[in-house]
Amino acid sequence: MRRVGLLVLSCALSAGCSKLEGLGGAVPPLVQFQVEATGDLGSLRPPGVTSDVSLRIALVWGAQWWIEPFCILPPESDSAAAVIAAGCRDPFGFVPALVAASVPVNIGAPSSLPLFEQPPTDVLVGASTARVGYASLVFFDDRDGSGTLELSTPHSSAFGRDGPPQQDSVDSADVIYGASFLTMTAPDERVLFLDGTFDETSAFYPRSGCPDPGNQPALFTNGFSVLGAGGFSAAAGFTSSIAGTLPPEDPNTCTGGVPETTLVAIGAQAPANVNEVSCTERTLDGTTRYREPPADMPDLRDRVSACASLPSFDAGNQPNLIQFVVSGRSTDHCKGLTHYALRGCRENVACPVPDWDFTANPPAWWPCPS
Amino acid sequence: MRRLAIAVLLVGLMPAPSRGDGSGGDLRVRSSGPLTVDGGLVFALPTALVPGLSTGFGIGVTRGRVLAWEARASWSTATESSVAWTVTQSDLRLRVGGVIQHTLGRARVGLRLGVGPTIVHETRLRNSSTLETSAFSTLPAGEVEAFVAVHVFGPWLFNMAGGPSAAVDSGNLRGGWVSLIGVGWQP
Repeated sequence: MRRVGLLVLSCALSAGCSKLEGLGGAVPPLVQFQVEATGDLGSLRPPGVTSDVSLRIALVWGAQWWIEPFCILPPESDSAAAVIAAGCRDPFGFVPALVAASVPVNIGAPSSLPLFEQPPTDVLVGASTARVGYASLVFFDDRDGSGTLELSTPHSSAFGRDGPPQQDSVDSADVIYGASFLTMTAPDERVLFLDGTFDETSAFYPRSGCPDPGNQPALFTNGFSVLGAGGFSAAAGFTSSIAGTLPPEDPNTCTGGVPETTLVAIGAQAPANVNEVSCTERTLDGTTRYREPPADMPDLRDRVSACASLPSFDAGNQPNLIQFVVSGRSTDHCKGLTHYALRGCRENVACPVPDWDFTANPPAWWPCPS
Repeated sequence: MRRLAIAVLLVGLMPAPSRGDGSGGDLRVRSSGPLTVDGGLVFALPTALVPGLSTGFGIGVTRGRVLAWEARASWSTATESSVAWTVTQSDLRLRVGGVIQHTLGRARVGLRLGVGPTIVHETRLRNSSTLETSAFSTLPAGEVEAFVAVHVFGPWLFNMAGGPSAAVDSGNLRGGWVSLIGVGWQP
């Protein structure tokens, strides 16, 4: 108290002690991540790309996503398996929701990636006292020069008049070369934002078996940390899902560190292998959107298609209804499927009053049994 | 509230004998000395924080008749936020100055000019983080205030004052305002 008094007095007698900033002044970042891109892009560039425009690393918050049943149920035919291979993304892959920040990088040289804002609540998962968000650090060539990573969405093939018109978007020109967190079935280093306690039972990009980061405050800077895990096998993932448990990580592969001192190295890979990390999904809840078949045959060039039964929980009271499933094109940035059914509604193929019903008079091009 | 303030003001400006209570009693004005001590709540524009309302308290001593001198001190604080910062500034105003005043019935009205340092203490918290900084700064400042002091009973007065203020911050003149509402004591 006496010191404060002396300080006040000395200030009063002097012509000011320090500069007042008020609400202005430079804003320090909440956290700075250390990132480094590694590898040789020479042999990895896609056809037609001979040089890099602007190599950058972006911090991308992940979405909570459930894959549609068609992609994980055992395929009923070889043609259905081919559609799944062509149109379904990795069920354990990282699905982006929001690009938060990016910085230019040089290969082999560490860079700092500052983050000035907490993630918005729509990318956080959990109760208000135990919310968590995960991000992947994505290495890309910013070929459109926008200074950030543009995400892409799958394209559906043409469909009939049901529902509101769907805005199709142009694929991003950015070329993806790698990410610190691509899939849960491979080793990853992910950015963690923790608000409250850590829920070890959460299935949001789980890392069961690793130490609870909530008990390690030394790993955090303003709620942010960098965690690593070795990943689990797809078989373990499916087995655990059926059993209602979380697939365990090898505890020896679990790492954690303070963002300012943990260097996250991102190795370059072929864009075709890592593109999906920049692909958003139109539906995140695992439901399937069935489409009304158009009157004219959709353009099926460079697409894989098959006739398949509806999953039993979708079919409801019409178990004999056959869907026509079409994959995206091989040139699309993102994998995706279009499901056609002769009868149904946009949100529910088993709706009691269908928006369309062509079961008695299918379009001429309809290739499946009616 | 506004009507009440106007009523109080009119009652104060009315000459005591004309109110028919010349007998005095508890409402009789018993003080006419040169010394007045007053204090009350301060509302002001923060000295160095652009938006907001700075609230606190102040006290003052005035000595003299038509022309008087005074010494005054007040402390007030304001907290404002932006996306990045939550800033709290506390202003300690130390003033000396002169007063010109006139008696109207039960009231004294006048103008006072005060100059002196304003010591500003600032704390800035970076939102969503643990980063906090603080700073002190002393700014030359002053204000001109109009005031009304109404004798309520005995030596006690009801005070209201307010007017424009100015401070020099980093070579720039900052305008503002300051006001006080409170009580006075004139023995």
